[in-house]
Amino acid sequence: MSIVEELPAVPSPAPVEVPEPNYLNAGYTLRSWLLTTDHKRIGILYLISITFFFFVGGAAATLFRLELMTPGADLVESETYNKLFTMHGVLMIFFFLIPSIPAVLGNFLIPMMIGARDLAFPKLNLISWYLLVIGGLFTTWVMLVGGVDTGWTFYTPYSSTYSNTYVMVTAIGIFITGFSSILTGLNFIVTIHTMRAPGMTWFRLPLFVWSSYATSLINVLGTPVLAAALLLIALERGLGIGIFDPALGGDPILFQHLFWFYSHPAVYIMVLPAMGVESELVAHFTRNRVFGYKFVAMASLAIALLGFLVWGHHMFVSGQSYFAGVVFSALSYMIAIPSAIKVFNWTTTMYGGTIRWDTPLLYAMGFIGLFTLGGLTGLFLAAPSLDIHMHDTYFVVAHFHYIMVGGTVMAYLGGIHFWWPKMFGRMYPESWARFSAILIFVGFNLTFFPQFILGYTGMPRRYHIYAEEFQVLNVMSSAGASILGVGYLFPMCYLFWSLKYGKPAGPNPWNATGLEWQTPSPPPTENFPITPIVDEAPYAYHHKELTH
Amino acid sequence: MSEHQPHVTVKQYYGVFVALMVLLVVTILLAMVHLGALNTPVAMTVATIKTVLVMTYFMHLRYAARLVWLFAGAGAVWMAMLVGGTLNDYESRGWFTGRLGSVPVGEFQGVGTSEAIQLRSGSMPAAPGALDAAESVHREGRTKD
Amino acid sequence: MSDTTTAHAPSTLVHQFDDIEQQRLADTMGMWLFLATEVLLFGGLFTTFFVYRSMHHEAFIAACQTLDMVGGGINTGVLLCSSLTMALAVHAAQSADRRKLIALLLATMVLGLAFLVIKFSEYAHKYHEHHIPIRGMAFHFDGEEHGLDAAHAEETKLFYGLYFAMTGVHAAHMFIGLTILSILLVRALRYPTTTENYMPVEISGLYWHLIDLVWIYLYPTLYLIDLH
Repeated sequence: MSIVEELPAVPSPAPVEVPEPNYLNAGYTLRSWLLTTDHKRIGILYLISITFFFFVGGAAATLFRLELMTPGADLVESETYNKLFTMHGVLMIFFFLIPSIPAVLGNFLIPMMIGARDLAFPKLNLISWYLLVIGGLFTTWVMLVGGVDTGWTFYTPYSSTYSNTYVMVTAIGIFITGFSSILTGLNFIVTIHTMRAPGMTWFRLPLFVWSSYATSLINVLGTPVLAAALLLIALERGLGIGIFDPALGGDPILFQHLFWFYSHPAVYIMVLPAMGVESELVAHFTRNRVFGYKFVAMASLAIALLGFLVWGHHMFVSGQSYFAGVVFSALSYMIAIPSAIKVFNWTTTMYGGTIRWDTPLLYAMGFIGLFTLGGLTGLFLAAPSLDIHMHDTYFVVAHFHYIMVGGTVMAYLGGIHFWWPKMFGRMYPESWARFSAILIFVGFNLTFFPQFILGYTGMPRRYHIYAEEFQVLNVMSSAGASILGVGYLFPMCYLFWSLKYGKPAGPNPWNATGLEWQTPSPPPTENFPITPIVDEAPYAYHHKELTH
Repeated sequence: MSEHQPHVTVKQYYGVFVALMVLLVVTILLAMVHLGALNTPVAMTVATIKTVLVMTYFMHLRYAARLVWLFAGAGAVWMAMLVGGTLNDYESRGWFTGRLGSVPVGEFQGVGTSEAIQLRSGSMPAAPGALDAAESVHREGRTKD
Repeated sequence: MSDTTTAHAPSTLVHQFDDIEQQRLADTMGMWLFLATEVLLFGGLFTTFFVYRSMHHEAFIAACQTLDMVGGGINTGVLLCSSLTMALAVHAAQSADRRKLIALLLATMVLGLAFLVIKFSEYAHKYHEHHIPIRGMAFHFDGEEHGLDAAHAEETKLFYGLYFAMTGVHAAHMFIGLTILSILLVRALRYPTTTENYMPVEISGLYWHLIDLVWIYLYPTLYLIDLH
């Protein structure tokens, strides 16, 4: 007989799930985030920052759309109204749209898509984020102490001599943020050239990388000219150096040349990355190779190059020479071609594919339609004879919002949803997401389609007092804006919710092709335990089906 | 640095330096000669020769990858687009008349004053001197930068 | 070239690159891209100058004549010398010649400082002549002396404004360049100079040469307009 009594059986404790080390749990301190050089963490830092600026810019829009519900000046004074649309433009363009897809999705994905451990210059990447934040602080300070009322275009001599608002500080803030874009672009170009994994040739790159490369070219070559223009304005305001002062012979059109030399390519900075996301979404959610891959890749470069040659189409009625107007108009028509090539290729990609109507595809479909409409209306404006009537009217406002909101923001949201499981290891709730996508689409069209009509029938932009006959369409537009605003709040809420309560996602919940889906979700800090070797074309869905 | 990679020698550095100093003297001498409209293009050409020397030898482009040449040239090409596109506007002013034809550069009469506004828009200002008075109020009344 | 420092040079290969050649190519490309942005920044200022020179030709010629062409020429020579010393410094770094590197870095810095001293004395001269168009400083251009009427004399403010803006931005880049050189100097004093860790000197050299190149264009543009 054993003297050792048998001990009662102790139930073994539940197996402790030790999460795999990934970039999110590699350090929980604030310092580990604020001093990170991991491209994925920096992408998240950008995500938080630009979301903040988006909602502040949206708040400004809410106020002026409320004012525009009545023809008179009921809610705000004229000066305040001018400050509202200026801040809306400055924040949305420089602090939301230009960083959005490149700094959030580009930072996160480009090293993974090419099989690298990080970007070429990780510390420079962190500095880029800090530059955005510092520029944003300048702009936030300006908003709190009284704003700026020149319009985001800072036309002289109003901005340089006559405006009694904080022009210099805003110009300095945007100057600083410009360096954020320049350094990010520089980082991407060098990374894509020198750090592709073995076998990852140029024509095996995902189209998102091609678009990001083209965008980075514009960032690097265009932004410094804006810096020069803003520097001159800041010197004129701060030191009284007369550069654009009309009493000395200063020329307002010269400022417009310098300003638009950057600001036109800037709109391609805003749309090219969206086109890159669009290529990815269309390919992965129809499980088809992109039709005409090389054409799409080359079209991205063509848009980047041609985009630098058309800036004068913003100046048809400013006093630019007639001859220059004709040259810029012809070039502006030419740039429609590569954009159209892309649209044809996306639609053809879908033909014969296996379509899954998940949220990212809903956004992608919205993009195709809305971007096409916005692009076509750009052709209206590219004709000087039509532009005489439509310049500085709501037609222009509707045109660029169709591209920037109907296009870029939808692509951005589509991309966020598509790569959310990769970034956070959680799926978002599909039904809420589909509902929000549709709500956003409806709200968007109700907001901006009436504005085409308003502009065509003569309502000027940047006016808070308008003729009575425009009220009905303005009310429709403001109603649409409220739906759109609510529509944007939903993803904010459910995406945040999904961080804790979303369904855990595996490495490849979409069963998609691409190197980023070959890593765990969320990925480890170094992305790949061993450098991958690439031996097949991108979007090789035909292979997937065969070996299924 | 790998032993087999060619690189610029000290002798070449000194040689380029002498050439640059000579070209500096040439620049100054040529500026004093009357060449009319050619003075500016000539000065810019000499400056460009100096630039190419500095970039090729001091900045090691001679032995750098082709891609680096492309990046080195891109800045110059883009600046040419900026200057070219802008001067295209100014130099072609007055080529066409009509509503969109603008006044040729050089025919401005005191830009910004009431006469110039009259010249451009063909309309009379409210009262003689009224525009100037309003203007000075806006200039002096500014309190923020 | 034995040295007695015991500090180890910072490791040259960083984690994101696979080998040192890839890293060097990336560093070189990165710096050339940054130099392209600098070319375009100054390009915007040059464009402004060219347009105004075309629009206000007489005023610009008259104002240009008041600049010290000799001082500007000497400054150009000083910068060309500094480019030589910088190129030789890079060569010394590549050859792991620590003493030469330190001497040449110092020489480049001295020449850079000389440039700034000459430049600021030019500024002081302009101040005495009341040619600084800054708020709070009395500006007066003697139109009669140069054959200009009162309206055109006002236009010279555009020339001087751009002169100070362009040379000022250039001088700011000189200050940044001098800061970079002092960091390189400290690095050369602290750590061994090997044939492997010369890249920071090389890419800083590229930046320094750009500052020289900008001045190579600034000098004829600002100082040598229609001198005859």
